[in-house]
Amino acid sequence: MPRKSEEKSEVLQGTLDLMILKTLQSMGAQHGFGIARRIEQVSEDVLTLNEGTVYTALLRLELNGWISSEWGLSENNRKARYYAITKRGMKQLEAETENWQRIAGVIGRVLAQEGRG
Amino acid sequence: MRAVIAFLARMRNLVTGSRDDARFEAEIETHIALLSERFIQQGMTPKQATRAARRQFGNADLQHQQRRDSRTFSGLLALGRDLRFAVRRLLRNPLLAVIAILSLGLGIGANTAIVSVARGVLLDPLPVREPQQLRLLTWTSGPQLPVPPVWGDIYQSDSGGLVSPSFSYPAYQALQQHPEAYSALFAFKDISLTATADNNAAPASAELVSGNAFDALGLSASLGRVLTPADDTVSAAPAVVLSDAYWSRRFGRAPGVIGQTIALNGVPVTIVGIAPQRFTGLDTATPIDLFVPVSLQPVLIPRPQNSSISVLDNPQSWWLQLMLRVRPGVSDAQIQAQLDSALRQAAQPAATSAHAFASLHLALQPGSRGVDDLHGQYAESAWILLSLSGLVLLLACVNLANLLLARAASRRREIATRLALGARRSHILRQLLTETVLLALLGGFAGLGLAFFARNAIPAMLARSGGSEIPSALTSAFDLRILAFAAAISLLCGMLTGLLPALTAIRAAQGAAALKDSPYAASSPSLSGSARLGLGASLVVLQIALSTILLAGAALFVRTLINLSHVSLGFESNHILLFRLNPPRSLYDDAKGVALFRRLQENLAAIPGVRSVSMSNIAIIGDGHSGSSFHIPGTPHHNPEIRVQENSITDDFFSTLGIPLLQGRRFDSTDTPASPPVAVINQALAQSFFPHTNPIGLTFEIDADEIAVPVRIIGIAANTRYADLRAPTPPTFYLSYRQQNESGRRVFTLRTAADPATVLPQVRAVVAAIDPNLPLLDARSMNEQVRSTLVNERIFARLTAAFGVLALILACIGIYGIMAFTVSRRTSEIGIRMALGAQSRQVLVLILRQATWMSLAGVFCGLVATLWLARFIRSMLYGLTPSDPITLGFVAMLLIVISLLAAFGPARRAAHIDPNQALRHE
Repeated sequence: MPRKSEEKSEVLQGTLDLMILKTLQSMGAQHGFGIARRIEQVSEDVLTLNEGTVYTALLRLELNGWISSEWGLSENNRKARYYAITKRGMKQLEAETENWQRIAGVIGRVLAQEGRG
Repeated sequence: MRAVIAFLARMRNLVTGSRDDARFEAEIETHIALLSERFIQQGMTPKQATRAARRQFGNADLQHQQRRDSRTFSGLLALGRDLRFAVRRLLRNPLLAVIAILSLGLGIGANTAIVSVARGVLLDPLPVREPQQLRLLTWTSGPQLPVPPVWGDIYQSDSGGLVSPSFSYPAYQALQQHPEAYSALFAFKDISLTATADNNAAPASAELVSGNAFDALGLSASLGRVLTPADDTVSAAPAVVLSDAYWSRRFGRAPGVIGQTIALNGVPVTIVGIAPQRFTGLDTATPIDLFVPVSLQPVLIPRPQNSSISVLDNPQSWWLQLMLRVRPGVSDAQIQAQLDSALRQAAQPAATSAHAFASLHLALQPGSRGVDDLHGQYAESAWILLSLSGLVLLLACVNLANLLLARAASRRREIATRLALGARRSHILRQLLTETVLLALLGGFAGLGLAFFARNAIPAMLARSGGSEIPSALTSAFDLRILAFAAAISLLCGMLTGLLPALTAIRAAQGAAALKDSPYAASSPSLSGSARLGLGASLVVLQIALSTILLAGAALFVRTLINLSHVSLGFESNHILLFRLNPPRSLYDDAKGVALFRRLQENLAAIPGVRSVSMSNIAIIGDGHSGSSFHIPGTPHHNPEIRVQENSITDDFFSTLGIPLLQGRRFDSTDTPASPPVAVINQALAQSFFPHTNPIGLTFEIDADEIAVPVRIIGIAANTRYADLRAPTPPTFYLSYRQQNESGRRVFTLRTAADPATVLPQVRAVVAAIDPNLPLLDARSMNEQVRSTLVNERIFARLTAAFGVLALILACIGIYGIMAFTVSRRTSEIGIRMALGAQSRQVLVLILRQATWMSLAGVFCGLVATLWLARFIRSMLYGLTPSDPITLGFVAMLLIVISLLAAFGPARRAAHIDPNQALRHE
């Protein structure tokens, strides 16, 4: 669990893709702004998110065929591009999640070691 | 799959790029607008909100940039950057660049040159319309001759039967009655003529073609017109079409040549057109100068037989070659079935026996390459040279890979820095590959230049005739396909040599950078370092093995050439001049021919510097075979009949050539056309047919026009080589020319007092004084003649020796490189050893031991491979087996010594390491 503190953490390399996929999976189709807000909200303002990088990530995910996009109208009638997770994206998310949990577990165990004093 | 999807997306974006750019901008603007609205709601002023929104969004331009990079091939822009960087790197290390470009250039050049030649031999079809529709007609039979082939080739098929492409003219006419079986049927026959233009007589190769041949092949004249069926009638005015090459050679491409007259064997013939440039006749082995209608045969080359000089109306004469063009959708079996009965019916009058005739059938063979003697003649050589040059290229690639591997070590820090600064693996890989591909392409250019200069050298060397006539298919055309081939192998080499070192370098650099989240962090730098050394060492072993193969091949071919050059000929070959005359039958019947030969003999003998003159129907070496049937009366007839070699000679033939007579007498003036025929036999014939008796005074029988003629043996001559240097002397008998008195082809042999070349002008003058239209054919010294039979062997010895030396140099570079690398890597270790008391000599041995192991392993692998590969060249060797221990032992020693020499420099450097400096080394 992240500590509650005024200090903010950088987004770890490679984890933004995972967060976006998860966001799209849990919330359905979203535009870039919505995704950024959702991550902000879930992270309880711990992560500093350079919001532009969200778009780079979206692009990367789309090129890999993990998400698809189409144009639509946002809640306040602006033209916006909506992103949705694809079947292949679901699979990727599953695999990445598993991978992340394994690594997190390992790191957790390593950090939990008692010092020798 | 991922790569494919991404690729397709990029392709689409390449097209829709600018529209998408605008949309993406809109998307970002929206995002920033929404953010600032939110900040305003939280109580900021609009100005503050916009600034905060932009701050939170980050660098929008950067997003644009990254997006473009990943969405389209703007990687192409990066390619230019990579290229500039690659050029700078190469310039910084010019020695490596030069070595790489040279070795790849040699490899690529050798391959391109040999492929461009081999293509003609192995692949290129006739330059005619839809050549794959063409079929060559042959007949097949059992082991006995079903019809009398008077003029042409007969081959033994694998099953023991006979195959021949020669048909009689009546048979051709009979097949013409079945147009439903094919879309065209045409006839041809290659002959040689004397062509006289502007009072200048020279030999020319001609193809008799039926009037429909050009049309059937889909060829039209590049100037004037081609031959038509109207030309191919007895009453038509004699017409000739020149080949493009002949038109250039004899007439300098003058367009006014159309309508002019040239004399062919003394017969005036009108030039009506020029054949298309690439068409050189239907037999790829001989480039044709002139195309004349078949109907001119009785006029141009009268062949007396059955009291007629024409073979056009004679069902007994089997000589004409036939081709047909299939109808689409009609199978070969259908054509065969339709034409077979017609052939058998037409052949019936010529049948030699009912039994032999029963098995006569028509057979179709592929005709897309015309008459494809060339394939059989050169295919083996072409494949061997292709494989050898392929090995050289492989060696050059391995060498370059090894050099790059060693250099990659020195770039580890650079690559680690770039990785740390955020460069992606793929970017660095691309950068490294750009460098090697650039090297390879430069090598390709060098190779192409080399091949361009060598393109005429190889066919000239390959031509078996010793350079007098080069088959057109061997003159390699340098076209787009060859350029494409060179480019393709250059790229392939670049990729192959670059990939392994580049991946190794990146891996090592990642290890060195020890990034926290890198999966490679686990492997320690020293470990991957030694793995790299192992890779380098195995590349060196591979190099030495390849060099062993190439050197062993070279040694085998060189020793074959040496062995053949020392073959005892059986006669005195110095100071002998040879030339051939072929007086055309149209001008010289037997009486005139005999008179001509008598006058020539007298006049030639009168030339100062000529000791003696003799004449034979074939030259003793390098002039082919002349077979005859042979039967000893009182013994059962063999089936098939026994055939031995035969030569018809004048009295002083043996004394002119210096062939010793072992027993009996030579021909002399008592042997006349009126006296019973006599013969001198050679030792080989005496030993094979009269092993226990003295053959002098005995008789044997030969067939002359189907009549058995008894011949009495009067002497035994010593063996000489016959036709070529490889074959042991075949049984041969000599007949007296004076008892034959025929016109036709004759070889003159002159023994001279000094260099034969000095009397050649006078010899030409003597011949020209008698008949200015009689060209001297193949005038050369006997030593040149003997050498001409070794052309192939000489090419192989030279080319493979060049390949071998190249291999040796490349292997040296490889060993030097890897040992220098080892020493620099082990500097601190050696320093410690020396600090602990190791002597210089021990360090030297330490390093040399490693080199010895590598070269021993390489030589061993190479020898095993050589023994396996050498069976493919067994038939080309002479006087030694492919596993010749002296040759292979020599090659092994040479390679081991050379590799130790190459390792000696680095080893010495290691031995002189100053421990103080070495310990501070890293």
